[in-house]
Amino acid sequence: MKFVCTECDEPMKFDQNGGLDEDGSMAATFRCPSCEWGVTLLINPQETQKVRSLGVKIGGATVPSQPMEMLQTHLAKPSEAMAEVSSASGCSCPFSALVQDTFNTTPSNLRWSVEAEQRLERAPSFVRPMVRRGIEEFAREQGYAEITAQVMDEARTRMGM
Amino acid sequence: MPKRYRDIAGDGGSNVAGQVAEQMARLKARMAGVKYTVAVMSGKGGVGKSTITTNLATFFAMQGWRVGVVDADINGPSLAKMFGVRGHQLRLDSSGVLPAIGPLGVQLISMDLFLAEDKTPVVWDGPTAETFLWRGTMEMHTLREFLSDVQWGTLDILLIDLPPGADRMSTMRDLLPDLHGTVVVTIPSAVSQLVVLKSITLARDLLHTPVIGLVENMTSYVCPTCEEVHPLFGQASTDDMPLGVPLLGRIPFDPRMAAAGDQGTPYVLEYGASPAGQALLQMGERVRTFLETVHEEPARSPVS
Repeated sequence: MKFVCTECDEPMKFDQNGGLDEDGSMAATFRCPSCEWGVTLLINPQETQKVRSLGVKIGGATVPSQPMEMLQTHLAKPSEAMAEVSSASGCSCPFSALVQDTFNTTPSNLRWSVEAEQRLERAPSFVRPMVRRGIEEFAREQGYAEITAQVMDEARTRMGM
Repeated sequence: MPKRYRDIAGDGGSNVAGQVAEQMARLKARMAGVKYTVAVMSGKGGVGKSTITTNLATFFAMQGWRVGVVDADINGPSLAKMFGVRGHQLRLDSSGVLPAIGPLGVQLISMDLFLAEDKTPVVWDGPTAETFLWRGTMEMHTLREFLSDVQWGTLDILLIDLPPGADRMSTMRDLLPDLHGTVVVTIPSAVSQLVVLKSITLARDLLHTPVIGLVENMTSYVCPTCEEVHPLFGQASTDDMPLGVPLLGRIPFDPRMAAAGDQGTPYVLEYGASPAGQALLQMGERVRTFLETVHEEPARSPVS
């Protein structure tokens, strides 16, 4: 799927991930690099899921996907054996129970900036849902509508990370 | 005239094509350590395809081959049970997940190893309505992760046990364009053979995948008392079908085969001398001959 600015005849560039709504629909904004005219693509839950099922990321991936990332993040009721994956050092993951919970949480309506999404992607896949949830809880407490890199820094300071 | 789709390079920043290419490159790199990839398929369900896969894998392991098996039946996985590895604790590190190890060192990955309980079906996190729109794609990419994200190491053969139906063969061809061959399983019933004919046509003529041959399972029944052989499904032999592929074997029915599967012990390990065991081992020899003849790879020494 591509977008062209009809005024400039320029291909539009991905600008902002508007985040997931509770029903699984999402918004993604594209902008013309010449005139900065923007268009927001509103994607229904099935279309969102179709993209997720391809194992790709809207807005691009900044780091390679982790092994078994799609299965780990999309299987609704994985075995404990799968949840208790080991890290490269062979240590048992201490966050497995939280990750397990997070598999079934409903998506939030907070927006994530592109930079914030990219920073989140740097976290290992099996702790990413927990980190996302923690930051979103912090943002809600503070009354933020959008999660930016600055909000992430504030959340980290609050969590003592 | 305004720009059209093909006039624009890239997709505005998501680089979906690049992300898919990265997935396929990872798959190709993993498969570089595998000498032969062979799919086991059928037209109809219930013909004993997983039993054939289990015993074919065990035959190769008995020959000293390093063997991996992918249970590609995402929604009805059975091979973890048949190899006796249910409940195996999966381990994952940055290189991928370690497969379960069955009898004679056969490596296995199956959806069964990822599910919480016996009664747990495969349920994906996503919208509950109109799941047909994305479920097939999710299953295809699960299969891709089974191939690319498991630490197979160096294998002589990777067997892929496909679910019933011909559709998954197209998926396999997309994921593994260099598939070395396909073993097709049927039973001597006209209904099964009608469907298997379509599967063979798809694999051989449309997807251009080498069909190693046909296995006719449950051909006959050996009376345990008098050891006389009786037909099990009447006389609908594949001899009468215009299949045009070699016959790899006719496997007689033996109730102990089902029991062996339930116990997680491959049948040929326990009953290799029985008529069904002999037929299964001969089937394995024919598959091996095909691979080594067509692909000219040296044989290994049998396990003593």
